[in-house]
Amino acid sequence: MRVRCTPAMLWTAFGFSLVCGAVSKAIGFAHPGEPVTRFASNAYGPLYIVANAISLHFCRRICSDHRDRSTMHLAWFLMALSCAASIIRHAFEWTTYLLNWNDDPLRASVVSLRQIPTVLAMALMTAGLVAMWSSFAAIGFGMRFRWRDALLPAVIVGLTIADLSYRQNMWDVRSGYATMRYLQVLSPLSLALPALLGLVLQRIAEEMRGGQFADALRYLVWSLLLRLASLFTTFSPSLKGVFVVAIVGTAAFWATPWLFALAVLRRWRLTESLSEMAKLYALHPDEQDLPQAPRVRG
Amino acid sequence: MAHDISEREWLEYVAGAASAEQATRIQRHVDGCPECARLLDDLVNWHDLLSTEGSRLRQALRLPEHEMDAFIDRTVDRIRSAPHPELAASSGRSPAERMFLLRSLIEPIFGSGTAGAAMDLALRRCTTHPEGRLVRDDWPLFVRNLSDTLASICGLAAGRLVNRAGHSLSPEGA
Repeated sequence: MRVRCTPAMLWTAFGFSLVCGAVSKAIGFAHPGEPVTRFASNAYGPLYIVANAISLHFCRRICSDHRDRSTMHLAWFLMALSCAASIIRHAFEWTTYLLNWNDDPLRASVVSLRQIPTVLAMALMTAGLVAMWSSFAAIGFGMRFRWRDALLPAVIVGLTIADLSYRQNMWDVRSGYATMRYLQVLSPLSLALPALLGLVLQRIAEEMRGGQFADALRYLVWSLLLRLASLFTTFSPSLKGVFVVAIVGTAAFWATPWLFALAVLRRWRLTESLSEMAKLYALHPDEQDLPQAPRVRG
Repeated sequence: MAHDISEREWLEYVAGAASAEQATRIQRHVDGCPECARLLDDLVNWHDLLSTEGSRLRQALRLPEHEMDAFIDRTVDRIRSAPHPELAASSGRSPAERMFLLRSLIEPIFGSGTAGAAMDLALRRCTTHPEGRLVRDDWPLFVRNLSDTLASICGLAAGRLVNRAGHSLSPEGA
């Protein structure tokens, strides 16, 4: 039996993750250090795996709707790889939790290797977003900015600097591997770069002036920004102790991948819509020649 | 608009929404004025084309009601701002009319900014007209370039749609 993924399903999963995230943090406040708290704070793993698997599926389908060597094909391919790296990361983290490796010396060795897929996922996402920007730039989008566009990047740079200053609170800074320590310290940067590129996509969505494509881009932007903001509330010592902020930040952290999945699904549904519309018109005799470069007269 | 009939009155008359008194006045004037008779023919032609394209779009897109209203508003605004001489002089579908119809199709999907930028780029790549206007012979190349441009950012399904819709608007494909 085939199940058709709909935005309503993903919104339901988003809401479910928000509630679970909030509850997990509340349990953490009520029962600090207890096994139930450790379970609650790690239980996002399976949800992240499912959300990334859905995103991977639709990224691959969108990728196949682009010409093989086009920049947009590369963009969606890199984003699909990023989802795959995220799945590996969360599967690895969940496994180490189930094996109870987080409490013994393995935490500083084997467990800290999760930094490899973590940073890889963000690097691939950044590269995918750069490729997407480059593709839009070919028709003149994302090349002109206003002064007020500098406001949010300034906030992101500020958050990143703050995150870097809280590096002692990060999990893998005590890893036995120097490379893992460096990768962990760099993690706020690896989140900030996609968020900054997300702002460029937001500008592009504005320049599109409406349409379903722009809506999909906006979901992508919000998922990138929410990810960075939730990381900030998780690391900041002054914020993570504040009940309401910690609850909201954790809930957002749990729900972020569903927002990305929604962005990708909306983009894929646009392709489906376009294919349906194309069926209403007669087949063009030159259609087999479609995957070619634009032509110029003279 | 000329001859004491406003744009709004013309649109209401063509859409069958004019009052009986208004309709009689316009019909009486058209009967004695060849220029307005030609304009009425063109407007009826436009109305039919838009109705057909609109129903195709509605079938495929299922836009929310408010988006559909906004789309119709934009379309009507564009008809009102269309230069009268071009309308009156056109026989069949001019390249400008075809561009307008194609734009009406792609705007709700890709946004007016994307539609405008992609059409400008496609036009620059194909026209030989000194003022950058599209002439009849340029139409297939224009459609091809627009299709390629949209395919590069929105995928082959987008390119295929524009290719087919553009071809169906050309005299050979209609």
